[in-house]
Amino acid sequence: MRLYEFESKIILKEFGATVPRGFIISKDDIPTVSSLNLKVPWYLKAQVPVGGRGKAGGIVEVEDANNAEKHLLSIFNKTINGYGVEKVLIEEAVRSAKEFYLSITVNRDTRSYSIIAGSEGGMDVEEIAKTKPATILKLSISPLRKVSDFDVLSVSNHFGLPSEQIRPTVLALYDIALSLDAELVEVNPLALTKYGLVALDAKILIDDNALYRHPVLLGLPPRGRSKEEEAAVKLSLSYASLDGDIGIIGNGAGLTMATMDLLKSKGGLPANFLDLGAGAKSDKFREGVAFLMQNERMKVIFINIFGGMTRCDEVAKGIVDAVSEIRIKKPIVVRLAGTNAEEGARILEKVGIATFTNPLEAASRAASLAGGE
Amino acid sequence: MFVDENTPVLVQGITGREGSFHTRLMKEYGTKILAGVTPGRGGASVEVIPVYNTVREALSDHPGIKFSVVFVPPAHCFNAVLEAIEAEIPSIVVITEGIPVKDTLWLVNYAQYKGCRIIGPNGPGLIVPGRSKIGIMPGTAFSQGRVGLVSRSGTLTYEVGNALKVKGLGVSTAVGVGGDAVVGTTMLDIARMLEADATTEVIVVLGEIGGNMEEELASAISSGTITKPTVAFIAGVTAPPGKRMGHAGAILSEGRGSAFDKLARLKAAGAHVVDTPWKIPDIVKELL
Repeated sequence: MRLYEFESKIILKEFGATVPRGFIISKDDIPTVSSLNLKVPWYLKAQVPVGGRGKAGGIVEVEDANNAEKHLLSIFNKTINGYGVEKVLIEEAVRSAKEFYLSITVNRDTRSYSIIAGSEGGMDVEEIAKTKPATILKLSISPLRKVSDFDVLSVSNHFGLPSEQIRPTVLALYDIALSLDAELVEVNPLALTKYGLVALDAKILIDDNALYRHPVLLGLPPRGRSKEEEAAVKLSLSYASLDGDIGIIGNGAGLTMATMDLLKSKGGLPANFLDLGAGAKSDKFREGVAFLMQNERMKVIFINIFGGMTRCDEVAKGIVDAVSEIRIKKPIVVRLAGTNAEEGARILEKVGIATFTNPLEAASRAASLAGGE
Repeated sequence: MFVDENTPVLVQGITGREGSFHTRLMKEYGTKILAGVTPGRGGASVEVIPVYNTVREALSDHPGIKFSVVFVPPAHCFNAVLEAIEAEIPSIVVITEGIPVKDTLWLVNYAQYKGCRIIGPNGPGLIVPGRSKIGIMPGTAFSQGRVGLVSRSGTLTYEVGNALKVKGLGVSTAVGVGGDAVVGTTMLDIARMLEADATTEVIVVLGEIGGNMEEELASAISSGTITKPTVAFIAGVTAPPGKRMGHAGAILSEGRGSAFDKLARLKAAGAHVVDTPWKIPDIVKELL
């Protein structure tokens, strides 16, 4: 789960880092800006769960208090990279003498934590790494030890700052990662200002698998999902929306992805990823098929199943149940192989759904059905 | 061969729904399961296999245990795996999906320090067709043969095992390394074992988006560490960046780990790459 900037900053402050003074404003409760009694200049920053908001006009510097309300309303009316703006952070504009990049992340390749320190901040870290690799320092922190003085010293040398000045921020990032199960805690830019080092922007990603042990985070409103994905979460479906028009069901993440790829190679456009998992029973398939059938985007449904733990007769029963329950008629292409595939094919044949054993032929059929309309 | 019918196995979480179900299937397949562990259920039995409260107790009665397979739910899995490491069980196969990455990070590093190997988490385990299976792979999908399979996906492994079987080809050993972002044993670790394995003649790699395990493997092919002919498929060419595709580890982030890059690296290293796993048997047939 990606935390909003304002949530990330509340956490950073709690863990001992310095953040600019600010207020959060909700769309449904916009105060008059004069009531906030702030000295200009300040920033208005759209709170959205995606990057690139600056370029999309989601950050406005206000130099004249008389224009503030106009700017505020215009930000609330924006859609930024697909997301509406529900909250705006109003924040004191702090002037920086120098900007840095600092983050801690789970490094899956080295199976450790990495502290990444960039002596030139502000840009996207991937961009910095590409254009100015020498400005980036990467420190590996084994999960078996704690962050230590020598780590702080490495960062301080790299930044050319006294280690007492950088220590609270490094420790804050590390402590957040460990105590909140964060996969990433990123401060960019980290600015040298009249208040010392200040986190001007921040991003925290929490490990979804660990949310169960952080009730406060679990209680936060969902974000970063499409309406479809939100509905799928309520049904406990492993689902992701894609842009196409052919609904996809597979069992197992790898097989479902391979099905998307196969469909694309045959000229079809996958509308989603839906993995019903290994060993799912007919109920789960009924639910999954009905979910896709009801979605107007989907012209054709393509179901690709290898029965290992999953039994193909259960799959077939689920499809039949969904079709008889839902009034909507849409072509369904089914490929069955493995456990009880013949029985599954017989069940589907009775309701007029033809099955394939060869996935390549099935994918071609699904693609041509979607293209034919 | 990684394991055989004489490899002694422990099942952790043996009395749970998944644990007891797969214990039965493993036993039917011929896996030598000596003991099970569920805290608080010591003295019970599952499929005539004795259940102990702790791994230590199980090992004091069955000191030869070489593998543990873990079916314990995420919230208790850390302790279960830690217990297996402290008992110095050489190989620990973790089936559980949904373990926090912080727990896995600590466990894989500690296991390495103690000289144990974790396979998984969030994987199907391994199978040596006709001899033994440790995990949840369906035995019927594989026949004995000379193809070594290493995979990040359970169902794709079964699919390919079955597709090979249909064409009269078989598998020497199949290992799922797990779908999480951090796993204890990499694809390269398994490929090295398949390289050393006398029964394996061709290596099949089933990768997916995210991470750098496939790239690591490509480098090993280039450097001559892996010399056996290798066939590779990478799932997720159509996956958009930033979206998790089911597996916690299947996500394109920061512009790296794309299926396209992985395929290009493997191809440049000399692997035979395919755009769909269903083409693998034909390529393998030519290579054998």
